[in-house]
Amino acid sequence: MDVVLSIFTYTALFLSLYFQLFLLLTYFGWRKPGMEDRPGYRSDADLPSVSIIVPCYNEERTVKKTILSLLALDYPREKLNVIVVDDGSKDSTWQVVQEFADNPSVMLLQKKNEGSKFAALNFGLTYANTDIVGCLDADSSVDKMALRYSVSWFSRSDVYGVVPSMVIDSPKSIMQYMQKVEYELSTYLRQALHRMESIYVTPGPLTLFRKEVFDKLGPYREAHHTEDLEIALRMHVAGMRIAQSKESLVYTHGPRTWPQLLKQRVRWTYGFLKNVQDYRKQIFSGELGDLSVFILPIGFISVIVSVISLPVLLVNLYSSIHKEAVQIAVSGIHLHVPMLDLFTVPSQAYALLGFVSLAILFMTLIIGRRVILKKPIFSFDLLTLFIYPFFSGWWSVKSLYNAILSKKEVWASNQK
Amino acid sequence: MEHHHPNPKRKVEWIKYIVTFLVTAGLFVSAFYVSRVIAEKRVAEIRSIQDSISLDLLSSETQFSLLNDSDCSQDGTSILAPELGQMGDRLSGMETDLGLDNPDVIQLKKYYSLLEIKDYMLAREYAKNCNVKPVTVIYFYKNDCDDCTKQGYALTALREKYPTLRVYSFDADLNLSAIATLQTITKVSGKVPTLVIGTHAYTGFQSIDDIEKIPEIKKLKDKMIKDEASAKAKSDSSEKTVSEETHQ
Repeated sequence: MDVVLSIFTYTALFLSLYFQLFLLLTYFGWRKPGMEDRPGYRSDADLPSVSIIVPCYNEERTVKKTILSLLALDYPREKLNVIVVDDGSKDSTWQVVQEFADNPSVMLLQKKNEGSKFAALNFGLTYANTDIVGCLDADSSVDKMALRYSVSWFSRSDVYGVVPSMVIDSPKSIMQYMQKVEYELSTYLRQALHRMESIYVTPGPLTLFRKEVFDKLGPYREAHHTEDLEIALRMHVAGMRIAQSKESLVYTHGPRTWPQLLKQRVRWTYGFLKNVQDYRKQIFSGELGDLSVFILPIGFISVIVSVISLPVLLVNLYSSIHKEAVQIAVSGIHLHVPMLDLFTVPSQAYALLGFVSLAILFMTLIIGRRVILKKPIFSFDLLTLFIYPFFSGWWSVKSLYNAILSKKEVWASNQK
Repeated sequence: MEHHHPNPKRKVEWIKYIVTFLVTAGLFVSAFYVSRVIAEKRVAEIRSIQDSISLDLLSSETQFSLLNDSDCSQDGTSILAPELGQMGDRLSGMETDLGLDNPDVIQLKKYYSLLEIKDYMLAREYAKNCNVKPVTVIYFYKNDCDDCTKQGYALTALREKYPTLRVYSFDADLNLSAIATLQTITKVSGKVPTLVIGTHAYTGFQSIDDIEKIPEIKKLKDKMIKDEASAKAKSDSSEKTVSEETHQ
C-alpha cells in the first residue's frame, strides 16, 4: 500500500509541476508568435457595434445593477445594445427591468422558461444585428473600460471571441473568499492559455463573439448544461481564435454556500468531462494544438488526481488530528516551539517537491494579483488555499461518479 | 468586412514539451539528491554525537577503575551523558524520515541502545559507591504498538517535569543480545510497553498519574514539591524584606 501511495504521490507531483512549469515558460516568453498584439481601432467611428444579451431568471435583486453597469460602459452609445431576456422569472424581474423600457439602448424581451440558459441566449441572439455579440450574467457587473479593452482584440481579423478577467465581487462567506483566490489564480491561468491559443471556456460574464461565429457555426447547444464550454470547443475545431483581454474586469458573485457551489462545480466538471468526450475525435487527432495534446488531457487527469487525493488527504488529516489528540490526552497541551535545524527541516523528496510546487503557486498568485489585477499580494483569504483541495476533491468525486453513471445510460439506450 | 480564413491545423511545439520535461525531471533529481544529502548529514551528525558520548562514558569508566572508587563530590547526574535523551528524540525523527528498515537507522539504534546500557551501569555503580539513589526508568517498546506511542508521550512529559529522571528506552524488536539480556535481568516478559522502575516491572500503558504513584517517582515528586515550597518561602521572605525596607 505504501508503495502504491508513493507512486501516486510522485506521479501527481510530477504532473502538477510539469503543468505549472509549462505555464510559467509560456507566460515568460515561450509563446505562440502573434498572440501579443492588437492594433486597435483608429477612431470611435471604426469601433464595431455590440449587442450584450443579459439572460435573467429570478434576478430581481441584481439585474438593475447589471444593466446600469452596461449603460455606464465607456463606448459610443449608438453602437451598444443591451438585450435583456427575462427567461420566465417567477419573481419581479420583469417589473424591475421596466425601468429601462424607454431607453433606446435597451431591448426588453420575455420568454417561457425551458430549464436551460442556452435557450435564453439563443432567443436573444435572434434579435442581435450587430458585428459583435456578447452576454453578461444578470448577477455580474462590468468595469467601465471592460468593453473597450475587449473589443480592441477584434481589430485583429483572426480573433473570433474574447474573454475577460473575472473577479469575485464583495465576498462574504468562506466559500466566496475561496472562489476569490481561485479566480485570481485563473486570471493568470487564462492569460497563459491565451498565449497557447488554448482558452477552452467562454464564460457567461462578458464574453464577446463576432456575430459571424453563430452565423457560421449555429446557435448555442444544450451541451450538458455547459453551453459556454461547448461553443469554445466548436470554435477551436473551426479554427477560430479566442483571446483574453486581461484588462477587462468583470465582477461576478460566486455561490455563497457550499451546496450551491457544489452544484455549480459538479455542473462545470461534469460538463467538461462530457464535452471533451463528445469532441474526443477532434481532440485525439491533435487538430487543436496544445489544447489537444496537453490542456484538455491534463484537465481530465486532474479530475482523476483530485478524486484519488481526497481520501489520501482525509486519512492524513485524520491521523494528524488523532496523533495530536492522543498526545493531549496523555500529557496535556504542550506548546511546541518549532526550531529550524538540520533535524527539523523537512527532508523527504516529496516534501521538497511540494515546497517547490507551493512556491510556484505563490508566484502564480502574485502574477494574477499584482501584475494582472493590480491588487495587493497578501491577504487572509490566501488561507483558503489549504481547504480548497478538500472541496475540489469532493466535487470531482461527484462529477466523475455522475459522468460514469450517465455513460452507462447512454450505452443502454444505444443498445435498443 | 472580409476576415481571413480561420487558422488551419495548429502545430504543436514539441521542443517546449521536451524542455519542460527536462526541467521537471531536473527538479525531481535535485529534490531526491538534496533529500539524500540531508539524510546523510543527519546520520553523520548522530554518529559523531554518539562517538563523543561513548568517549565520555569510557573516560568516566576509566576514572572509576583507576580510583577504584568514584569521586562522590561530583553531582551524580552530570557524569552521565546528558545528551542521551536528545539523541533518542533525534533518532526517532530519523526513523520516521528514513523508515524503520533503513540499515543506517538500525545500526545507529543498536549503538545508541548499547550506550544507554553502559550509561545505566555506570549510574548504578556510582549510586552504590556514593550511596545515592538516582531514579531511572527502563522502558521497553515496539514501533507498531499504539500504547507504546502513548507511553512515549507520557515519558517525554515526565522527563520535562523531572529533569533528574533518567529514561532508557529500548526497542524490543531490535535484534540485539544486550537488550535481551537486560530483559532477562530485569525479569521482563516480551510484552510492551513495559516500564522497569526500581525493582518492579509495570506492563501495559501507564498514565502520568499512574507513574507518579509509583514509590520511587512519588519520592521524586515530593522532593520537588518540598524544594519548590522552600524556594518560594525564601523568595517570599526576601520579597517581604524588600517591601519592609521600602516601607521604611
